[in-house]
Amino acid sequence: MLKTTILKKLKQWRLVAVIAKDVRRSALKERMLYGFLLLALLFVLMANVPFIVKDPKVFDNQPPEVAAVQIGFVSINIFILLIAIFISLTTLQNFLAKEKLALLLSKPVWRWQIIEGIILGLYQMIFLNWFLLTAGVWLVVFSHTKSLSFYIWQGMSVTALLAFFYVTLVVFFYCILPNIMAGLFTFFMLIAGFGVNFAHDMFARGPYPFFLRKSLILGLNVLPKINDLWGVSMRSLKLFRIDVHPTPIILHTILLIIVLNILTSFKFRRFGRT
Amino acid sequence: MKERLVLVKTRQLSKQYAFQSFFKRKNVEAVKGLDLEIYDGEIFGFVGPNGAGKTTTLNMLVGITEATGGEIEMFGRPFKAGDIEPLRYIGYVPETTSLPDYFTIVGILDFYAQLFGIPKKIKRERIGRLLDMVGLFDERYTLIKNLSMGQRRLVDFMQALINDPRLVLLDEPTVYLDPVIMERFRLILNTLRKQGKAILMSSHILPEVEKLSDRVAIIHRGVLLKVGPKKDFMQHGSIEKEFLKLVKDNHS
Repeated sequence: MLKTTILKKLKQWRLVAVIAKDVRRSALKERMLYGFLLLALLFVLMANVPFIVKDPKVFDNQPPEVAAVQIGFVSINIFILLIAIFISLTTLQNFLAKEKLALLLSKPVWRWQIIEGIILGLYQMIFLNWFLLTAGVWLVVFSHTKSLSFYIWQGMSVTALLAFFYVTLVVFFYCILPNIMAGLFTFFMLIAGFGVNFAHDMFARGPYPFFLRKSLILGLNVLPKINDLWGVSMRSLKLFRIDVHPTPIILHTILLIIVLNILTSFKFRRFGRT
Repeated sequence: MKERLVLVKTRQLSKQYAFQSFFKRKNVEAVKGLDLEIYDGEIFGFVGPNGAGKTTTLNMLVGITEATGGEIEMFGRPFKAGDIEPLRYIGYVPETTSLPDYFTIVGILDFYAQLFGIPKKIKRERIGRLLDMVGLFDERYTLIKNLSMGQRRLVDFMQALINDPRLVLLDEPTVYLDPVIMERFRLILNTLRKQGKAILMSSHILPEVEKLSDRVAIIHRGVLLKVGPKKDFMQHGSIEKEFLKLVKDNHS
């Protein structure tokens, strides 16, 4: 009985994987992606500079390895955000166009399988990009220091988690507003995410009534904690000694991704249905 | 005489679209109280002018659009948007070709076959048979983007047949076809009819409907004007004349 149920569930997810493969393929065909990727790799290659410039004052007396990782960290975080938002948006526009969606809906596929397939495909696309860029930084550091520097992969993995989060947000907003506004909302959400700690302190100290204060803090807890995630990443990359506990922050982000996925699947039930 | 099986039955099927402007809400009835029956082994011509409600009806039959009234019975069971089980036995060709152009012909057929969960061996055999049938075997590894519009339409048609459906819904299938491909298309439809499949073909190219259909329905402004065997539509010489007369009468 249990075996049959598990097999049935696995079969359902097999269809998700089939759709994901198509979405990944479609995303990787976007020319804009290669523009972003080329620029990102050029920026990543700049991580060579601290090893070449012998004057330590240029990089605030930091060891070349640290300066190189810092350049890599900034480049990857900027370009992963751009790739996640713009490529996800264009892929969604292609994939959820009325005609293409109609053809998919005429097949024996549940709607949740379609949207989860799309999300999984975009995750695969963003993971590939993240892997390439991180490998670029790692190779630069490895070529100069001859050390395996596994901490680079560990630290950058937080960026991969953030990239999944950006993609999830874009898809979620696209299911509510199927146009370019989905990208703008994602940006707004991320900007709000940067201010969470500040707003949290403000509401905790301010003269607000108990109920309002609790509600505001609860609302803030739902927002992504981008600053904290970057803190976790930077600590792992040995850039700064930041006092953060990675586990709750990472779990919070994973939980947000799961909840957003469920909400997106729920919202997609009515998508394009007239 | 062998009794024919009703594959699709609609009772008072209706669809109302709501258009919301800034100041007011307007309801448009795209389909009004449609009663249809489609049998196995027949080609059913579903004709009407542009905007008559043909595509809306087909979309309701495949579950893409939700009906606002009436009932659909598919293969003897009630059907509504969201039911995926009957879709295993339906093939659908949409009005416009919308295949992803980064696939080869074999690639796209393989993709849709996987959505139906068709085992590898059967899939390979079926794709080969379909390619032979439509005459695109030599182009099987050509990217969709490099195909002509007529060839793309044939690929659209192949994807609809990949699951060996009992019911094939064709929305304006002949729009992009040249006379040579058209001839092949007629042969294919006749073969499918002989295999006992039901084919619902929506079109406004009436000579084609006349050549192919066993039964015809004329729809205008969402209302079914006439339905019956083809001979009932030939009283004025052709379906086209009957169609124009019915539409004019309905206008007045």
